[in-house]
Amino acid sequence: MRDHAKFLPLNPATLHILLALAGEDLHGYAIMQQVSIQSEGRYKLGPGTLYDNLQRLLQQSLVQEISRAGSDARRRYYRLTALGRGVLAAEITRLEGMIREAKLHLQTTRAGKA
Amino acid sequence: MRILYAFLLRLHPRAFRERFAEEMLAIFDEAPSVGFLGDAVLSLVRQWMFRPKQQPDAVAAQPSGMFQTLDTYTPRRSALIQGAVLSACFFWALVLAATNGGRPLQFLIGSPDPRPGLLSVTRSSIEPATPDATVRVPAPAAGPWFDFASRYFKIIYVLGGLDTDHDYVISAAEIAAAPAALRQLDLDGDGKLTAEECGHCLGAGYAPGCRGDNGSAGDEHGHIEWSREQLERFRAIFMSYNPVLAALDTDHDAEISATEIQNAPAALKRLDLNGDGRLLSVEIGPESVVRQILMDSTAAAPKQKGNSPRPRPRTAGR
Repeated sequence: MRDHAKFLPLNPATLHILLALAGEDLHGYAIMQQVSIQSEGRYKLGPGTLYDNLQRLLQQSLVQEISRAGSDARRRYYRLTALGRGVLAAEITRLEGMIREAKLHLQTTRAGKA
Repeated sequence: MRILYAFLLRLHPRAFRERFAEEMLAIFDEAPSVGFLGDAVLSLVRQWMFRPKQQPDAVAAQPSGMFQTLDTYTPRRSALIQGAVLSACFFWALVLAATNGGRPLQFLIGSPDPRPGLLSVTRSSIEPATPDATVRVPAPAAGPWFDFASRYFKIIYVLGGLDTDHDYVISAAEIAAAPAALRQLDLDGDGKLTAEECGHCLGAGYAPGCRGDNGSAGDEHGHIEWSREQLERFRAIFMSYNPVLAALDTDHDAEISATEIQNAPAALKRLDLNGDGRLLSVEIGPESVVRQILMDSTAAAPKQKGNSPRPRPRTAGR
């Protein structure tokens, strides 16, 4: 857990990429599409932003490249590592706590106004 | 548009380009979009400015260039720029503290006070200048007059006594102080100056006041028996030969009386022919010497002939 903490908090692009890779191994374009689906079209990654984040995630060993035969030889597939999965879980826990705290504050504010 | 996008990808750092450019171009081919061009430009700036440059371990281990790093990457450019700016600011602050002692800048152009510094200086060889300082320019130590005057002012005690600063010029201050200077020559204390006290000597130890350093004539002991009439005539000649003595001895009795001593400034001022307030060589030297000096100066500077003081009118001998 202590190792995961040093990666937190994740920026939105990193969080979306890790979330996209949490389900299955994906190539770059598929990651972009998955991010768009997850955010219901509100968050779109460009190739530059995607591969800049992927480069850092590869260096941090949160993501690894895997060899996989496909229709296009130029495509490379990426997989979430165990460390990356743990970091994603830690980030989700952090966000849940934040959301819980936010809800609590909002309820208190409403009760005060009532 | 694809060519432009491929060109932007080629501008990326080599490590990033070799690793991801093919995939990025594949995405562009699959879903071309104008927005990807802007994204590529942003990526270009981001990679060059904010991302460390990866390099092989072998390169990192070898010292090369201006610095060496133990990491497998060199610092990103933005970090280098920030480091340069911080270094410049630090250096500027250091120079400011060292040169000004941390005080506000002071522009001291023309100020006589030294500039305050970091190190306190309790003493300095630089004396603060004062605008009303008197600058004394020493007289030139060469020339026909000075060669002559160096001996002449010793022989004529009155001249030596008046010329207190030994520049062979009787200045206005020395003229004003003449009575006191002349009274110091009165060795016997009778209130007047005899010819001997003025410098007249006919032999060593001949009379009070004769110092015997101007040469002598006579036997092997320097003594000659002169008659009283001869001595008086020699004294009169001596007192009339030098223009200063002649001017001071107004009653021509071969002595400078107490009254004449008191009136010495007025008598000396009458010798100031060019009215500059002081007595120069042509005004106090013997006539033969003055004539020679004027001839030499005329030959040396013919264009300045009219500027030289005119020879004084000689007083008639007694």
